[in-house]
Amino acid sequence: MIKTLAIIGLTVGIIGLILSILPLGLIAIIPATVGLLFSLIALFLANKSDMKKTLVYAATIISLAGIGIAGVKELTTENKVVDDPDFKKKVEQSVDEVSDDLEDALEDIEE
Amino acid sequence: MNEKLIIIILVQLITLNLFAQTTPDIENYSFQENEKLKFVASFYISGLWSDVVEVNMDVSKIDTKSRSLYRIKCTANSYSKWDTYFDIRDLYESYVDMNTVKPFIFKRNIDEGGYTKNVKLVYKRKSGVVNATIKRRSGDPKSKSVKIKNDTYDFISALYYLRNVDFSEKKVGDVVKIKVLADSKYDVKEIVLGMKYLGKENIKTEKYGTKECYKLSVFTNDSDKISSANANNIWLTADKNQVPLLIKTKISVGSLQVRLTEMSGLKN
Repeated sequence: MIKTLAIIGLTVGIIGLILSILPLGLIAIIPATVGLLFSLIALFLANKSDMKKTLVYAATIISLAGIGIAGVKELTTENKVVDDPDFKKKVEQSVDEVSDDLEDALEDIEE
Repeated sequence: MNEKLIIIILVQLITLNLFAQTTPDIENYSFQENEKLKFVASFYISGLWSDVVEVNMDVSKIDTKSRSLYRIKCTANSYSKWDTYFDIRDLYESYVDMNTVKPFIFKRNIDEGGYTKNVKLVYKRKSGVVNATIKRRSGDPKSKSVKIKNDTYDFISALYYLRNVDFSEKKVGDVVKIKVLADSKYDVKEIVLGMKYLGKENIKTEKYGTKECYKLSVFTNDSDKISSANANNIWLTADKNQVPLLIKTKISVGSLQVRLTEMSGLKN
């Protein structure tokens, strides 16, 4: 029972940790919290018995890490667009590229 | 059996009539040169919104030999946190008449995670054709001529056309139809966008407080494109500017939301 809870906690916690590394905002909090919940129940039950707690501790730490990373990233990461000079140049040059076509299109309505 | 057949024929006739109507000309009263709108596009995944792309729409004036035009430029840039996984650098442009908002040239240059596509549509209104040039990835560009009527727009000019439809005079359930050219692979075809007026709604914004808006449901006669009613909605501010404040659409993996975050240079 304790081992099953710890394995579920560990698995869901790992999913939370992976999601926390990706730029998905607070989505990682959901699996990481579920993982922490299972891990804490496993820890509570394990404290009442004399079984090894390595797996339970691992599940708890990984779930906490997922919550921590997602939370810190959400608080510190700003929505920012990269300054891309190539794209800027492309946007600026676009007007010159259509000048001939534009004259053709305008002639076709004014003749 | 006969009753069913009659119903089917009636539905077909109504649908054909709905999409056969012409798009009435408008007079631009809602936007001007130097108008800038900034939006944030977000995906809805697992119960949470995640900001992905910044969209900027700018209007500038272009002088040609014979007349002045508006260049409506729309750029979409992915946020830096997404760039490592999937970078987006899209440019959409429409060169339109300053009064009627009818387009002369439409350009779509997209670069999404390495997939590139360049589309150019040159509208020759007197001849009744559009010369389309499409280039995908590293392939050779392909050209095609498409017959159009005088009331055919592109997606960008259609949005600005919509801003000039006076919804204060519309009743709930009224439909506005706009013919637009849509591209798929190497093909370009005319489709009809339908906008059903659903009434007024208050929308909260981060910067500008609560704004009264006209809510519209967007649908089309093309089954390949967004089609079902009420799955795609757009809210325009209920003032003379009719700025698009919020766009919501359902996609196969969740929902997409585009919300206005900044606006400047408004006409009214």
